Amino acid sequence: MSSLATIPVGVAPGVEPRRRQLLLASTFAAGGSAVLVLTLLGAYLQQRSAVGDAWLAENNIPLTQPTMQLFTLLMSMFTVQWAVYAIARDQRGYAYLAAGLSIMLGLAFINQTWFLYTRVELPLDSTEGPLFYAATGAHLAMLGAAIVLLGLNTLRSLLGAMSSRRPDGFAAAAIYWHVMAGLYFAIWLGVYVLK
Amino acid sequence: MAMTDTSPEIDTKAVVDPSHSEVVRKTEPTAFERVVGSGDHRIIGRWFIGASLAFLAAGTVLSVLVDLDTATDQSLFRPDITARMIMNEQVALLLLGIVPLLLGLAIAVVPAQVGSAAIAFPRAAAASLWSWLGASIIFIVSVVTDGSYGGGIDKTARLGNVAVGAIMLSLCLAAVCVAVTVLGHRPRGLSLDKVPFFSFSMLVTSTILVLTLPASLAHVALGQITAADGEALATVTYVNGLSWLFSAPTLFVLFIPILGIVADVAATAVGMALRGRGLVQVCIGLAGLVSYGAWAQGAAARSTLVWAALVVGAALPLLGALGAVGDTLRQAKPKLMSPLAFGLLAVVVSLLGAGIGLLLVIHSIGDGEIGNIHADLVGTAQLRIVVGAAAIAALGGLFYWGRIAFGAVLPEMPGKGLALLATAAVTLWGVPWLVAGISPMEASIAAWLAAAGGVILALAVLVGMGATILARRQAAGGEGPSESEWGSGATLEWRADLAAGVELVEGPYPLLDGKDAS
Repeated sequence: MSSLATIPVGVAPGVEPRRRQLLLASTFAAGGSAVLVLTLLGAYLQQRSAVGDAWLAENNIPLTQPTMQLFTLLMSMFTVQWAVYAIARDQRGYAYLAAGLSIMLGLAFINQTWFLYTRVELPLDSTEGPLFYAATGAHLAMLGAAIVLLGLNTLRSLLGAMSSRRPDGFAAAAIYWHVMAGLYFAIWLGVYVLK
Repeated sequence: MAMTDTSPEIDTKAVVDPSHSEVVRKTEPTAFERVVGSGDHRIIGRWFIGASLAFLAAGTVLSVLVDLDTATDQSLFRPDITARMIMNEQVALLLLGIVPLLLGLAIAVVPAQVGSAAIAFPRAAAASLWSWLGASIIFIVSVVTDGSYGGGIDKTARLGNVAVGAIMLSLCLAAVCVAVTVLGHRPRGLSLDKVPFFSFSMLVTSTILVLTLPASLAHVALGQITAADGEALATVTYVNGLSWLFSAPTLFVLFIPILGIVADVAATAVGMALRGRGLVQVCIGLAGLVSYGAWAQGAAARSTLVWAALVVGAALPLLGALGAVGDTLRQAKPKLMSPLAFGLLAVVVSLLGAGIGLLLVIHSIGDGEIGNIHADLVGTAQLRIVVGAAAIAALGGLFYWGRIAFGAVLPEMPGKGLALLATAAVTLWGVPWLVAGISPMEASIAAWLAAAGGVILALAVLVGMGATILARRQAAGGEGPSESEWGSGATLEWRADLAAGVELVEGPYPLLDGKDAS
């Protein structure tokens, strides 16, 4: 206590070493998740190629919802990056707003997916069903992980654990979010557009 | 307090009741609590090492049973049981044995090598250990109870599949912890080109694992959705999603840590900086590039020109690193240390494993028409030789870093004998199948020889495990030598106070005196 009292008030607090642990871990996690989703998408495309014209002959997956989902995630990419920008400048209010908007857009995406699943009515015992649900479901799980990651970091920020000196939490969540959104573009193209 | 902070030891009773003046003794954690609740990377690494050595021995014994069945003209087991054992033996060797063994060694050693007092995300590392161990036990139970791939009982077959998925996730988590430690826990001055070779090799290995295992995990998930029984799982998950893990080029990921171990040991053996440092790092990186095989999951991909080039090219990094190590060893009289014997023999055996790839390429190019090559037998030989080479190197790593990982040095003289024994065992375990695959040698003769090799290898692994247990007991009792006969190395893990982090480093061998450190 006495040693702290000798530090003049005007001295800026020391800068903690930035080891970027969270950023690195998030990058690895995003890479691994991407391989998982792309492998499932590859299995879907391979099976579709093997089956040929009979693929989804009895089902019609609409393009409207998937396209809306794509734009939802595109918007969320901007808002999640806004959160990173804001926390790096200690604009905590904007950071909360941006993170909240991103989470809301993510939840909207889940809602849209649920609606799409009910519209498609693809049975699990069909040839297409397991692969369709596996590819889109894995991406949905990835989105869930991204929402949890962003939510936890928002909570930590509310508790004062993040600031311009320690912005890595939001940045790590953003990396995972961007990769997740990029993967949806591949799913949108491979599953919904090229069906 | 953040979740990552250490809980202060507060006497809660005294805080709640100010009138309580009696000094309450702080609760000491039990031995069980100390182990299960520990985030100490050395404890986590030791558990990974001990359990994976036991599983590696068990996987080898499983291969011996398969060989004995072949040697006795399939009179020991029903054909479906043999097929089940072959599939699950490969899973056990790779995912329960050699990969966690190397990751465990890395968890124990890498933080010290990069000058850090702790591993990145210690709780995640502990979670990876316990989830891997739990899932591995579930996998073994499912195999024993007629389950897993090819199993006759549907529920235990699916249970085995889930366990394999959990094992992969756990190993990915451990790999992330290792990779982030190398990338993020280095002190100032220790740039990636100055990182010790084992740490650098484990960075590359971990990256490849994180980008490879999820591809298999995808098939595990698909199998769980679509396959209702063990037979279907064998096709959907094992054949489509796992078999490529056990063959070239993915299998060559095991070459990477071998290069890291032998390069670090060679510098210590001569007491000077390794010559051709850049070349060895390029070789390690090249080995990583060559061994990324998630793109070659289908049989069609494994008959392309790119696949052939990668499989044949796998020998290049081995040769390059061996050249640099050889050039270093001739600069000064090397100490005859057991880890050097392990390391050099592992590289030689690895070269044999890489060379077998050439036969598989010839078989693929010639559509099976050239040279009467039996790809299945040759593939079995390659798997065993590559896994065996990695096991030899890992044992060498245990003998080299025994003081760091276990707190006491492992006995030097038995180590030299073990290096020769393990190499002979691996050769006997794999080469007979290679010979049977390219010549008219009777399969039963090859199987008898391979079974003998498997038994010796399992014993060698258990002896290595016994040596680590002995060292740990000596360390716990404050007994045993604290210094090896060959002294110590010049990288950061050999510094006196491992509990303290390092602030600044100027070269790749901070503990090496004089001009040779450059």
